[in-house]
Amino acid sequence: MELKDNDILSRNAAMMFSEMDGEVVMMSVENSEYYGLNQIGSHIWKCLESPLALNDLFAKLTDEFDIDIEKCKEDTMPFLRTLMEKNLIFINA
Amino acid sequence: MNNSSKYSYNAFGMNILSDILLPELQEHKGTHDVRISKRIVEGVLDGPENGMRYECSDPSNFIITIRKTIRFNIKDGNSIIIEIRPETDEKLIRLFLLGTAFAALIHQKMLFPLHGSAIRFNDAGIIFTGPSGAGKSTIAAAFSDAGYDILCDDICVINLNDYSKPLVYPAFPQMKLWKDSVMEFQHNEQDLKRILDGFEKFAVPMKKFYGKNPLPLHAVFLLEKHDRANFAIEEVKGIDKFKLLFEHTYRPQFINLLKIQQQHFTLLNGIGNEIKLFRIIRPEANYRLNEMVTLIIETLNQQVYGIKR
Repeated sequence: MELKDNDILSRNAAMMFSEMDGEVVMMSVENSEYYGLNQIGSHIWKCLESPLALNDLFAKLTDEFDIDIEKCKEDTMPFLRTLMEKNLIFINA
Repeated sequence: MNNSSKYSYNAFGMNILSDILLPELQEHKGTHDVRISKRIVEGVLDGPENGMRYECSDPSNFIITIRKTIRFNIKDGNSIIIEIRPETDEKLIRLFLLGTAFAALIHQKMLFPLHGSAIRFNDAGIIFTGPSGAGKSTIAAAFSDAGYDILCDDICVINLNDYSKPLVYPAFPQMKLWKDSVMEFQHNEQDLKRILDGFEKFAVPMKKFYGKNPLPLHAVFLLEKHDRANFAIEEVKGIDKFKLLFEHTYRPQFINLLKIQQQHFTLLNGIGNEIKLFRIIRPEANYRLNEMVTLIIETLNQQVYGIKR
């Protein structure tokens, strides 16, 4: 599934999440699967505290990390796709 | 019915009034918050042919049935009702009561039971966890020989205090050691009680039991072994720390049955963020206990208490 700039990303509310030593830790209530996010991943997860459009997320990240938009997309898209595949985030256009 | 209750104990941070004698536990005088009662059942219990069955259609009543002979009804975080047939071996009842049944009660009270042994170091609790046979009890016994108090063997109950700091509660002054460890500490095999007849694991009284109050928990050591000759030690953080604390929770399958996933997750992270966790890997061939004790003390002094050599 391809992501479009105006897609709204939101967290899967059925995931429990917390921080361990500054890294985001997530766990599914249903099947006890758990995931850990690295520093950048944790930061992106925190950006999604409330639903956010993809282009707004990129704007936020390029601003904060002082990188250009192409580089930002290249670096974050695989991560976002993984979150989608694992049902950790949803798209509601 | 009530005049049959004559025994009063303290274990796992709970004051217990019991119908049955529990010689493993330390006695306690005063009020109680957990009641253990016994019901004799005629005929066979409805239970599995082998092993155990867990039932928990209502989280306030967790039922454990062991074969067709013992049933524990663990209720409301404050009561264990034991249903037994008249001829049931008391040793067997106590073995399951002080392990699996109390684990269910601890989870029901939304406390955190970590599988391992705890000692007192610098007036704090230090826990050794790890898979079966990793040497959790053995290293605790080695610390005991070196003059340190032991708090628990097998189940370490942890909770957060009002300031969100983790505390570990003393269990009871008996440990379970495998035959080879019993020999290591020069206990006489004849003097010790097998935890079950025909089983090469022995009940050993703790030489120095710290049985008063909970202690702040500062560190957990995960014990592993490898086929190399050296020791290896590393601090574990983030998701790996989460994973290890989750995996070494005592009876983790009770969490889903009791539907306390969110509470356990929150408690685990609250505890994890306040402690240091170290993985220590020892040579499988030879335990070299004294070296291991020294290494653990050095790690605690340098990496937990910031004391430079």
